[in-house]
Amino acid sequence: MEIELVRQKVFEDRPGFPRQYGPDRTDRQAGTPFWPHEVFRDLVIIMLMTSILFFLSAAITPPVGPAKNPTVQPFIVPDWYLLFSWGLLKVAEIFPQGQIPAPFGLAPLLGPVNVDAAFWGDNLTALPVAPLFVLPFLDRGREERPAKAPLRSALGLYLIAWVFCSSFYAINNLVIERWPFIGGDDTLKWFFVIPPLYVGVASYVGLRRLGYREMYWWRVIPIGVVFFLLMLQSLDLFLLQPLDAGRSFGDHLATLGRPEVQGLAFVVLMMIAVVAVTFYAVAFLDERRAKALLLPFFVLWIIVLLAVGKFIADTQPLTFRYILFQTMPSMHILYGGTIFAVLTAAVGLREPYSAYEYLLNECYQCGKCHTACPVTKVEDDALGGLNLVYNTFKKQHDGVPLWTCLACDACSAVCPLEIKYSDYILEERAKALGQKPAGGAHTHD
Amino acid sequence: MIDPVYGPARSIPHPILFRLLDAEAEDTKMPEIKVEHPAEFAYYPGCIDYYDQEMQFSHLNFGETDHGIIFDSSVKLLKAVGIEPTILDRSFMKCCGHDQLWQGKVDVFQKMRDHNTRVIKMLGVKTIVVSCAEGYRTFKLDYKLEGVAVKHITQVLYERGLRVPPSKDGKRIRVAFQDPCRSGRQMPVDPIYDEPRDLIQRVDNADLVELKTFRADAQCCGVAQMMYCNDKTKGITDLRMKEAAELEVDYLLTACPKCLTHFGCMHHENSWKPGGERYKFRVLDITHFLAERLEGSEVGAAPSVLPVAVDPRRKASGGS
Amino acid sequence: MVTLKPQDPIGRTNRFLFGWIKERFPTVPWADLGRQSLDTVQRQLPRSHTEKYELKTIWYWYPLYCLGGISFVAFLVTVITGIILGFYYIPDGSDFFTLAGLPTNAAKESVACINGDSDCPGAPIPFGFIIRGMHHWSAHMMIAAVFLHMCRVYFTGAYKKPRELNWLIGVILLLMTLLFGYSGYLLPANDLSGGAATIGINMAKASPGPPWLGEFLANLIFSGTDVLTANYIIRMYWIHVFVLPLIATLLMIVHMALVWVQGVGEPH
Repeated sequence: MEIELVRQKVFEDRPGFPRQYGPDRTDRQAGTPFWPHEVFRDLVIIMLMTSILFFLSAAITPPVGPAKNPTVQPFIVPDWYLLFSWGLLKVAEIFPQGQIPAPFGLAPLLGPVNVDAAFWGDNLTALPVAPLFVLPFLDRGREERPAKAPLRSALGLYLIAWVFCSSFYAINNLVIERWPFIGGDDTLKWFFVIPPLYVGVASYVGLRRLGYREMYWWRVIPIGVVFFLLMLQSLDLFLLQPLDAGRSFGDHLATLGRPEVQGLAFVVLMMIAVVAVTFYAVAFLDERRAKALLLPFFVLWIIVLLAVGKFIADTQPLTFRYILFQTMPSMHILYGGTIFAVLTAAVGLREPYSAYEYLLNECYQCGKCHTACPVTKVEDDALGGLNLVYNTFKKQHDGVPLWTCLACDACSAVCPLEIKYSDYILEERAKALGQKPAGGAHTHD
Repeated sequence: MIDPVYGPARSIPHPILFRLLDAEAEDTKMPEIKVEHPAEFAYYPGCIDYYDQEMQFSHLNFGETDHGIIFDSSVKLLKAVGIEPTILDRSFMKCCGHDQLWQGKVDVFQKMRDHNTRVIKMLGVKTIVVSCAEGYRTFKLDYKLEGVAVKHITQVLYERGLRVPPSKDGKRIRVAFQDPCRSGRQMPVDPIYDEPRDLIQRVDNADLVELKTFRADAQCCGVAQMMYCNDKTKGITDLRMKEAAELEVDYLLTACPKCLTHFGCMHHENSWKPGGERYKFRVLDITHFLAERLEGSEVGAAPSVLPVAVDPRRKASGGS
Repeated sequence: MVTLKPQDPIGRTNRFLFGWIKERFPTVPWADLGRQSLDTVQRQLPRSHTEKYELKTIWYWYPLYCLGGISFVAFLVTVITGIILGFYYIPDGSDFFTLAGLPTNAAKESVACINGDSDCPGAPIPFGFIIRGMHHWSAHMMIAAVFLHMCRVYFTGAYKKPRELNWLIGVILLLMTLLFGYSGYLLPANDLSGGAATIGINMAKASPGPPWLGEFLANLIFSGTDVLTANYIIRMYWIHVFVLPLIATLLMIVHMALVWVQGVGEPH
């Protein structure tokens, strides 16, 4: 009789893990006291910060410079945090300009609006700021983890990269002065568009991979597009770019005998080679073989490129200069595209660490798995029975649940977070026998 | 018998069968095969023909739990929908490796997988049909087969419109279906819930009865990957059989030979009980059930509805 | 009944001082409230996920949660150093010429004196360069910390329900921090200040809408619409030293109080 009462109390009243909220809370874990723990911890951080500030202010005094001059406009660069706005101001001239007249009769009140560079620069500064205000109302999902919300995270990285590139454009005249082979302001204008796009897409692909989603087309399409653009750019470089001023089509091909052109052809072909091989690997091979092909190929490629590049730079400086001057104006596709393709393939193919543990971290101990598990209805080990997912989450599995589990996935069927317990079983049992897990069901391509 | 490879010493998995399968996996010689009927569909029976022979289920359960009949029925059903499958049987295919994978013996699984994948590629198979839920999951998810579609036999019969002729007697039968875990909730793509139910409903005198938990919530049959057979697993199987008994079903069907094994064992054990407590329903694989109802088929002699276990030793000796 | 008077001088002084206050103001209920709020369970720093569930993992994003605190400490350092600087800074931007014929103004000269530069007409302020340096670097540190804090909140999804209001307050604080920095580096009235003021006035005049709106904003923020004659220093001084600190402090208190009440948002 007593054992029945105990069983009732144990199984029905307490689900085997501590309840942390509400009047029935069984877990009254104390937090960390404010005094002295928190105070001391914060004091350490504050003193560290203050000492760094003291050191900086003593070592690097910010200069004052000459006073403002009402007659001469000096060349200035605003502080780094406003450079993105400065860059937008500088690029604003490419936008259409004109005047918006006021509606009939309201001219004195509303007046014509002058749409000029200042207008555009002023209002485009709102571009990175306005989305921040509407963000919580646009994104109403409950998903918080960055890797499980790849779109939001990739958009965030895109915005950060965009702000960075905009700040970079703010010093365009300094850049062109220092590195004349960049070609012109146009190449720098493309910084507003292409590098942030690369960052956004590559991070989206990588995060998607981390979240175990369908990957195939997400690898193939970006790399394919870049490959296509790279071919177009190379064709343009060889067929349309004039060798010297005044000459026209077919010049590079006709002058392949010249060492500079050979050097140029080498560099361009190397870029095409690596992007082509990457595209082939992600499009036509399965993941295992793609990784097996790409990694050694890339290592070899880097070695060859650096070795030949160093050789050219040391022995034929004219060729090196020529290559820089010809390729840097199209650096976004030629070099940027190559880096993007390789990075996207790398993040899109890599094996996320400890597959199951990453997913299991989402468990919030609701206990439904315990209720659904058929083993808990017949096993009476431990107080409160076996709560497989929760005990595993706390790394308290003592071997019994691992081998007693039927791997029937009744727990996964009821889990609100869709944690696949059977994946855990596959991994842990393989590890218990000293083997590498076979990969399971989570990589579906 | 304590074998640490299989986990804490609670009970006995079936070592003879697994040692046999592991030893088979070591043999990597590729067979020379001549395909007599190259067909679009290939049928893989799996290990069901092991069970009756090597595991002697047919002996243990005195012939009640018949696995070989699944093979027979499946082929007959496929022929009934116009498919002449290539039979991928034990003479050149190995065990699919499901149990080894789930027991943690990944290296054995990989050897079996590699061999089977090579044979499948060699034969140019386009679609594999399996009658086992574990095989379905293993081929679909754990063997990364490219260009080969994997289908369960219920899916094929459903798609091809199997027609079951009207029954000879009008007696209504109550039929329950046990959704196997492997082909149901463990499949992230193409889970099988509706096809078997639709096929059951094509039998015109069958009333489909749902057990207490069904579809994705269906309770496990008690054992998986042949890991244990002890009081706890039997307790789980018993829970499920009791559900079926409470609903007074006449047939308990399943789409997985493992479920059939465990229900069959439990049914057999239960048949030693006094009359009132015995299970009054039959446990069959769904292919066996459907094949029985196809016109003009003789799919083995089915035991009577109320099986009474007869110990052949007693019978032979004519003892008391 | 003999009342024993304690003989030690410190205790007697203590009691005398406190007694003076206590006779005029009821300290006990307020001190009690303080002690209670320090001691109750809710006022402790609640356990993180890792501590609560005794997870044996290390979550790499935990150290990033100190960025908000770092920005607040940096703000405090700027306030303190700003108060000190305010004693010596002269907010007068009207131009005049030195004996050598170079343009200058009182603001820039006062900053030069704080900094200990050679073109300070009077006596340099001892250690002024350290205070000014700390003000400068902690301002930059605050802006960087605020931005990184916003990134952390964004990436861990801690702006979602129920923390939308806190996020909006945070964005407003970010804009105010940028405005702090901008108004701050306009104050020394040097080259950078002049150029930046030019840009600022032009941007204010180009505000979207009818022309009078632009003029109004330029007059409000820079006290003038002509880049050459606008006397923006005193306006920027007012904004930098009173308007912004008042609003920013209030908003920061609300921001931190919301975090206190709602709890720290950990991704799970």
